[in-house]
Amino acid sequence: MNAAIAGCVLLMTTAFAYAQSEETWRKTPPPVKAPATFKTPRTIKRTLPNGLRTLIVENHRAPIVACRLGIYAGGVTDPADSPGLASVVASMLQQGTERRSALELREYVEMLGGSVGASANEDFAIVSANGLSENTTKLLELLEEVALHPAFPPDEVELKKRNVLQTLRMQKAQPDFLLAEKFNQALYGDHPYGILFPTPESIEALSRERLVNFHRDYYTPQSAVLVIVGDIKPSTALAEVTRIFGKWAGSPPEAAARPLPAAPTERKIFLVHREGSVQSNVRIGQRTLKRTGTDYVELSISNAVLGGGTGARLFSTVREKHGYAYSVSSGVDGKREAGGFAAVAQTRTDVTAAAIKEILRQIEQLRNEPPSEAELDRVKSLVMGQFALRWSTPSGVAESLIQREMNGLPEDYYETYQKRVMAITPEKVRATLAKYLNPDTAPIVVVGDAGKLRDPLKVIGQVEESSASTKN
Amino acid sequence: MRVAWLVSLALIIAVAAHAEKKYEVAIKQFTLKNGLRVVLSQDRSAPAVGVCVMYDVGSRNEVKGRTGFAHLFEHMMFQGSENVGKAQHMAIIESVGGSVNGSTNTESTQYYQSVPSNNLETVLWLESDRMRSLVVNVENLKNQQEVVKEEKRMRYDNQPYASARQRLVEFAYTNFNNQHPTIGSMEDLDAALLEDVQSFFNTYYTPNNAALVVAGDLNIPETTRLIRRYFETIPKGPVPPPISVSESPQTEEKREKYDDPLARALAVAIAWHIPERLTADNNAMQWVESVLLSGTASRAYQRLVKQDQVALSINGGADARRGPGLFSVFAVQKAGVSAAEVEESLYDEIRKLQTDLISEEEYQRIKVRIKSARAFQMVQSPTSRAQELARYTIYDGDPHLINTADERMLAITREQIRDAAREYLTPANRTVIEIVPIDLDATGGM
Repeated sequence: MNAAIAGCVLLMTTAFAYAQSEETWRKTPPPVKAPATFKTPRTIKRTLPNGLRTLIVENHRAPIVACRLGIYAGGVTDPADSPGLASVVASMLQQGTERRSALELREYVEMLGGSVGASANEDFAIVSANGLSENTTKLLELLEEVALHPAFPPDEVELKKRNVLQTLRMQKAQPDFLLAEKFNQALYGDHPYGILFPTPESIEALSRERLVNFHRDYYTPQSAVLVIVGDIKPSTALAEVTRIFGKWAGSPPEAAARPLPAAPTERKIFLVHREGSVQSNVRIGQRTLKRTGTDYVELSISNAVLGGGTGARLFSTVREKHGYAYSVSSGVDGKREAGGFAAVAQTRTDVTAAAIKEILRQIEQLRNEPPSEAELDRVKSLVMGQFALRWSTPSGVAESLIQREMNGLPEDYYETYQKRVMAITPEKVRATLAKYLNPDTAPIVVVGDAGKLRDPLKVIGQVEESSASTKN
Repeated sequence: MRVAWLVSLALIIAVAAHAEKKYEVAIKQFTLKNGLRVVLSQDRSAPAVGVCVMYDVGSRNEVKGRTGFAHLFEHMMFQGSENVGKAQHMAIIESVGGSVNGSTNTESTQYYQSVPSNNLETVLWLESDRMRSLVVNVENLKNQQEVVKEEKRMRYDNQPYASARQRLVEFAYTNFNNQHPTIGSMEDLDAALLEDVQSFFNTYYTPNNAALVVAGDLNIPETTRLIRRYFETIPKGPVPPPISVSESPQTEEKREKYDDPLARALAVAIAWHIPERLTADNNAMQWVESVLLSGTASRAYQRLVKQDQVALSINGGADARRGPGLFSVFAVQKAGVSAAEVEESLYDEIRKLQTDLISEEEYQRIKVRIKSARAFQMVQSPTSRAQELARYTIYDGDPHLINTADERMLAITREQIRDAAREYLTPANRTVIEIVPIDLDATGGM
């Protein structure tokens, strides 16, 4: 009691001291200056006779260069009986080439003062090389060596198989993994987008031969784009690209179309039991637009009002107002064949149902009532600010360009982006969310302590339970 | 083989010669009458600025019964001040096209944001208002207590290995200030009283206990004028109470098993005591980190993951604290492998470092990495640069140290690396936690 009174007195004293301050000018926030108009850097484009498309941008901010080679060798090209093959192939590129072992490759890259990376997502693989610009030729040669001449050494393949198997077992203990696994299944079914990670069977079935065949079939110049950004002369860089990549040949096999499941007609809650969970991981979402969908930019901005950043609806209600979660947000992602929306939260177990209801309520509210101009302006500023920052480094520029190319976006996409964003109105936000989001049927995935969650969740919708506690 | 090596060495030297070119980070510093240390670092190559305000308070300043305070306070700082609405700081930064975050560690609490350069004044207005007049009330406290408890659950309690790695720190150290985790305990977070929080603010959130760093596309006279306007009238505060971070020397190995209900694989976490930052010995231990743990060509990775195949992954490194630090290693074991096998392989690699000098090739290769990092530093984000400068200002009293960091590292000899490994990576100096999964379903382990 005394402590509380002392606290109040202290607070009053402090408030009194500041009320006395003559700095009333602090009441007025400084005027907000509008974002600068964005201009993409000048890009030189060439297509080699073998079909390889090349984009080159000069950037002399620092004596460095960033290279990205994108290839349509992503998860959608996995054979039906070998999910994850594309990803394994990409991750094996650095494990040895026809010239050098994995260790020799790594030591050579370090001697160049640079770095090399390779990975594949659902749609494409990217092999990257960054380093000092005086080593541009050597970096391009290294890029060609790693991307086009992997050796897939048998002992490395064996080690990879065992490690991936063990990683899979460990992933099954991670709530984020279990959440994504179930969610992707719910949205995409048997389509490659629905498969998050290879299965134990497909890992066991991997062989050097499968890796070699996949690489031969899909790593072809007709499926590739090369982006080079940095402290270089475009004419020199182009001559080097022609010399180094000119002999590359081949074209990919016909793509087999993989169907997507029909949209759900009623709400279903997928409850994944994870022993020992002290929190629930929640994801609510559905399929929306692929990356080249007409309203993609509008959907992306509309989503940002709902759940992008700390001023957004979800953050200010689920976290700040109710204290249900440390982390809550929503996002939109678009791949080449399909895309989705997801609201994500980690909440403590006893408020999971309440948090889900609040998220659904917030989605419904924005489908019915437009946001304020101020709210929308804040989102536009946030998005344009982040957009501008991406172009300030050679790596950022290279990433932006390779993503545009590989996603099949139009050449003027970044030029028109700012105008499109600024043209969105509050009513457009409401109409876009009303059109593309269906909170009544959107799948809900919850990973946590099923014993405590089962009954509260049944009130929200039909519950389908599974367990994460498997040995395999 | 010899010819190839000579060619490689020539290549290294050629690269190194180029990298000798100076990549100076521009620095202008001054101190206001109220003790606020100000650092301005101009770089006009991208139209953004980063602002970092770092307060010299971290978990090492916390008292028993009040762990987690510094970090809880980081959250409180976003809840509004005299002229800024509750939870409006982040929304306002976003509305000017920027991004903002904060972080707390054992030694400091920092707030950093990047904005388009034409909106710098908004950041200075926000930061000065919360430094001078943060609103501390029961509602904000209760709400953020819940948020922080959720953060603890998300980052630590609900993650395999995280609590075990906290335990390693607690077990290795003997001084309470160094032992307890920055996130604090649930009990202490619940026990936080309003008067404690207000007192914490009055003691540590003062201009004389802080550094303000602005880096990026800034105009120096204009920025100086704005900083004086917004910050100069904030009254100086008391000198914060001194703390001790000294440790009693460890004279024999410490070891225990830790049951982890969320882990699916055995793992081992090990730590050795090392001296404070900026000493030759600490720099030598940074080298040991590079040789032993950095990247896939590193010795521990090659031996444990590729050669003996006893670990699925291995990582770790050397602290650079103002006080006694730890050199730690964390390795996840392959199925069917015991902790003893992992330790044997690791300790054998350490023995080699203690016995033989690293090769000239290895030494030069790491030097190239250190030097080329300077080139990449030229395009580091303005907030990253601001944070780095703030650290050198608060921890070491001199932001110019950013421009001599690589020189200090490059001065370390192969002999010093070997001697540091001998001195610090000994059995008596180490603490080991063997992490054992508990399979609660009794379906058997791995």
